[in-house]
Amino acid sequence: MSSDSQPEPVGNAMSVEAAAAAWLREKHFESWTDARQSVFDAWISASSAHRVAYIRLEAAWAKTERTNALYHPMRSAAEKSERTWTKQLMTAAALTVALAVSLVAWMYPSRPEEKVFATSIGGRETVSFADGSQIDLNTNTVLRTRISATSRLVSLEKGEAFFRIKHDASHPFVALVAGHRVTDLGTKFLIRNEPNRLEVALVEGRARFDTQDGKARPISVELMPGDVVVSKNNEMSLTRKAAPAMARELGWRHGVLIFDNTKLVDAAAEFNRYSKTKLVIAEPAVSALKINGTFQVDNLEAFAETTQDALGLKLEHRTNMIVVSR
Amino acid sequence: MVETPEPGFEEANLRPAGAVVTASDVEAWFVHEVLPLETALMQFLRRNWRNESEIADLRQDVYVRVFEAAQKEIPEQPRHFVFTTARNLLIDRVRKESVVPIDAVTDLEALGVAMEAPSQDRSIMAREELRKLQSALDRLPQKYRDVVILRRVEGLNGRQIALRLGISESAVSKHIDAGMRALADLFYGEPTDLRRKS
Repeated sequence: MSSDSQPEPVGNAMSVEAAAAAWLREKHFESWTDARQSVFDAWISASSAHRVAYIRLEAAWAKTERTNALYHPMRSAAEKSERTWTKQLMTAAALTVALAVSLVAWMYPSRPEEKVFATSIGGRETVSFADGSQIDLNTNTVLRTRISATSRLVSLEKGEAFFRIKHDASHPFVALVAGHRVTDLGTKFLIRNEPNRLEVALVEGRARFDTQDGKARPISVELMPGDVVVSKNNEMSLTRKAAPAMARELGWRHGVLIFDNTKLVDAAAEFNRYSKTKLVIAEPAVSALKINGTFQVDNLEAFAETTQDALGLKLEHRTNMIVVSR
Repeated sequence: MVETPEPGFEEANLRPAGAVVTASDVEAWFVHEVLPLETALMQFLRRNWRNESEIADLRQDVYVRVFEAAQKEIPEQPRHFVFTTARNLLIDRVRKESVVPIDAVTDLEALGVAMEAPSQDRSIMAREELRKLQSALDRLPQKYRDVVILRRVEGLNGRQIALRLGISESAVSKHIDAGMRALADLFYGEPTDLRRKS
């Protein structure tokens, strides 16, 4: 084996590595120009030690490319354990709190800008944009936004969001969910993305719904107010909801859940979305009981006590759950 | 029955003498074949060289020798080549410096270094890569992790990260530089599997 290399002075590796790190930063975190490229080329060509140090750091940096997969829980859920799932969600939420509370500029940058907004279980946030558009995020929700000079693209990774979008034909607004797309035509609409169930409800204005999951024949429909698209177990249906029913469904935006002749099991499932303590209905006969009323979304206990008083049911408090039975 | 090779078989498998190895070939080979050996290489160097302050320089010298050799011809057995290079480097050092801080220049086989890595299913590798990334990010000091996340997840540049975190741009630069170096050590240098509690 031959070697062209000269012995380097002691401690050289660390200073070479520091220089390589500075180049990497400039290239990947700052603006990069042809002039800097030339200087960089000269530096990296000067010695194999420079080259291997830079290659090594850049290879490590390349390995972080999928960080966004880790910090977007829905994107590769199958690849992660429960532990990291929770942690990722918390990190995403922590990153987002500062953003969601204050107004966020929705200008039209020359390069696409991506952001993530997330709420934890029981959380609710409103994201406001400079063009007047607003998106309300319900409990346990992750929304990604990608704003460029020509388009406004959002992706509802999980959970539920209510969109109030200022129509702007030159900057079309598109919401992606589970492979489908909703294109704003001057709209207020709701998207709810749950495992095995997807709902898109148009409240006001118009929007176009396109299926794009590649499985079935593509469908494209223009939604009118009251139209609700539901996709469940790979079957898609279009139904209509009367205005009062639609208003009830949006109660969460005001911190309430509104039930109108709702099965107890469905009402419990709704409450459970907002709470780490779960309401568990123990018997099928109890599940089918109906309940009416308006309840504070953050007060599972009060709801449980109402079922106790109004329906004569028994409550049993266990760790992280309240069991309801006759 | 006489076995006849597929037409062109021999040509396809023989590297013509003096074939040009492109720069990107060498870099890709270095990243995929050599860097993953770093944990084992560092263990080897530490076991055979007492002066800890020289380990980083030794690693650099090994990499330089391996890289420059690969520019002429890419070695067929990277693992064997890297450790032979490391051993030769240590022997050279001992001779040149006439100081002998080395316990023994161990026989390669005695190192217990497996000469081939087990092959893995692609999907398992992808999942494994993601697990390693999570593990590396978990162990990265938080201020370094923040800059990685803000860059990778939100696409913020250095100046925007400074604004977001409410610290100076020069502080962000320091975090980035230190973070990049720590990441490389976490991905390549530290024997993560050995340190993990079972």
